[in-house]
Amino acid sequence: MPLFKGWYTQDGWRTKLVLINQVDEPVNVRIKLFEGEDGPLLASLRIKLKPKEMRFYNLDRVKRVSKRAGVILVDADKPIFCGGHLINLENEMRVIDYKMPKIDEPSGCC
Amino acid sequence: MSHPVVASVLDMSPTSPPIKVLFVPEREELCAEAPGGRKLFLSLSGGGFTPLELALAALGACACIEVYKLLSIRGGLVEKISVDVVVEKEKGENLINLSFHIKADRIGGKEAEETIKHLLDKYCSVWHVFRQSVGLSIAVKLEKR
Repeated sequence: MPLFKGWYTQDGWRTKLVLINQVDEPVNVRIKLFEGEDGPLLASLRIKLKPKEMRFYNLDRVKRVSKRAGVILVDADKPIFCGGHLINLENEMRVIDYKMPKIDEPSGCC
Repeated sequence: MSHPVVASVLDMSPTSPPIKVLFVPEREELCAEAPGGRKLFLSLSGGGFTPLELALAALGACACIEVYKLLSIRGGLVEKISVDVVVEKEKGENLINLSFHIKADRIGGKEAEETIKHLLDKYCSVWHVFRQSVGLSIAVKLEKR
């Protein structure tokens, strides 16, 4: 189960998530949006990607993160690509694209 | 968020070291020794753990540590995890029930359940040993009294 960590902001910016299913099977994806680095969980979403589907998920759709920014965690049950596309609301020519890094799963305790 | 006790346990080697167990019937005491001289005594006469209880405690301990790690990297702030380990006989086969009680923030019940169900088998090495059929080889060396 790959796990990705990234950053979103809906405060003066609009964030779109880029999710690409890399396999020929449906993938269940859970997206968790936190306030800041250590703040509370604001929203938890579940998305199902079709085989090889590429989806742009606009965080404008999530009212609870309006005017907020923070950490985003994406958990998928099969391999996916996960990225962020941020657009500045005052100047839409200012954009940031990034690929979310994968978090390493923990090793066994003993 | 890292707990010092958990951190020290996590430093253990991933390989399975030999454990030597000594039983002296006269003393009604078992002594298990791990590499490095670490010893654990089990008293058969007192109110200590039985060997089976100890095995189940090891399973519960390993499961708690793995669940803590899995939930923590998913953003959960875990305050406490406890697990009830129960062995039941069902249709002549042993069934191990793990019932978790978790006190945590920033994680949903459904997510915790899914994470534990999908990943515990992969990461909990004690559970892995319990589940897999382990080849057993026995060697006996008898010493006269």
